[in-house]
Amino acid sequence: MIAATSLTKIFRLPRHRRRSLRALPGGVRGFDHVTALQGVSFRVGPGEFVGVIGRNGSGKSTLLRLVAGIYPPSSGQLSIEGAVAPILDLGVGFHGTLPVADNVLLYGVLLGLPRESLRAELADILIRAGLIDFADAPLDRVSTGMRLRLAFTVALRCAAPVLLIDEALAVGDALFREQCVAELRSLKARGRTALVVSHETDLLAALCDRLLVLDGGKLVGAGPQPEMLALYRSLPAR
Amino acid sequence: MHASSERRWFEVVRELAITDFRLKYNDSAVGYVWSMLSPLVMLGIYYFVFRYILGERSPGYAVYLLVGVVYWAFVQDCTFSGLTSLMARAHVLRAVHVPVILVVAAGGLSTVITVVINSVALVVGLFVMGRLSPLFPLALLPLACLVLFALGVSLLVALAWVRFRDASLLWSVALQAWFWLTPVVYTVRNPAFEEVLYLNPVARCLYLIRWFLVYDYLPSARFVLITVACCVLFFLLALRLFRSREKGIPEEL
Repeated sequence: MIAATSLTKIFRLPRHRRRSLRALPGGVRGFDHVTALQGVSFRVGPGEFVGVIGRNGSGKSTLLRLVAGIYPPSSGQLSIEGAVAPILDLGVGFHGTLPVADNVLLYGVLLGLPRESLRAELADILIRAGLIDFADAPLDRVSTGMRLRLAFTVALRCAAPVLLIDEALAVGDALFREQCVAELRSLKARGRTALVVSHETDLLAALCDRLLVLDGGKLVGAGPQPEMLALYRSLPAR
Repeated sequence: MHASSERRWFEVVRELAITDFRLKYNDSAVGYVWSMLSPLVMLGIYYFVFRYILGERSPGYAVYLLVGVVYWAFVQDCTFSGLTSLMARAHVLRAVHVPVILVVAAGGLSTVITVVINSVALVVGLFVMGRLSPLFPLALLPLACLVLFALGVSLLVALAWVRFRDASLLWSVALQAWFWLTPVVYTVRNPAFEEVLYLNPVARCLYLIRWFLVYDYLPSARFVLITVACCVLFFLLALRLFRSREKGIPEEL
């Protein structure tokens, strides 16, 4: 369960272009305050998948980072029941020069999976990602698509009750994508909660019960798919 | 599957430290030997300059220099490690909720692995040369102090870098000055200057390490206690400061 009440995030950016010595105390020339999110309130119930749509820069990723606990909110309350699996940047922390198997362990551990069970399920993960013959090859030998596919396979192992997914499904070929959607749907059937950011409306339609529409850091709508998609398309250009 | 949080943090540090260690030596032909080779090359250069150009005539100068160079290399690596790991893992910190301290700790830890291996090699080398003091196990104490102190500095340098990016350049300059304020390559005969050096915790640790490893000298308990207290206190203060600022770091990277 995720409950957010008037969630606000203001970034403080130093006014000069580069953060150099002038940013030392006493040398500050002031800060620009950028409001990335303003008074956003919503609730995602247990077992619910909620999609987030909005234009680039509307605050979608910031919202997910707040829910993931990566950024502290500037004000407002956030309460989350259960551990969170942030699938925000697939394959983050991968090192191309290290073997595929080592990358699976590193990435899995970063996502909060116990190393023991990762080791035990390594072969299964590699088979599902189609990389069983590449276990000891450096990750750089593997194509970008396969890399993302591997990351997604590892990420799906997270048992955390709350999943945060940021554009993660824009990867892989059609077949793999279908498998991903099927896996996510089965996770949903088993009572997981998720917040899904995507620009792909058909994907959101396949996964989500409701949509949140963000515009300029504000929540401008929340509700069933067709109405929210219509609202999103009718947003004036900024 | 999902790990409990303490266990998770432990696994994250271990995995990151091992990865850093592997990455450092993965691509090089001589691998780990390089981390021993580079202090040895520095040793050769300093020995030549001090012995033949500046006329250093202290007996056992080569051994003195060897110990100094090995531990200074650690101070250099370790104090930079926090900054380097924040730089290298900025994208991780913005995508996964991992306390920033763990990333910094992992970077420090991989330099600690190096200094431990090098210390074993040093002890074996000194033994073979017949220069190892029977007091050598005591050197673990000043080594632990040196590690704590260097990790503390690493935290502060990393924190400073988050605020203003020139910190990395400033630190490399400061490190040069610090090098010459530490008796790594020179010997000190002037007691007044020695007193000044005692204000430098790295110098104190280095004195103790040399006394225990090579010179078979047991200093006063007071000297040892002050050194331990300085290093532990400094580390704890640095840790506290870092932890109080930690939450805001990912968005500033």
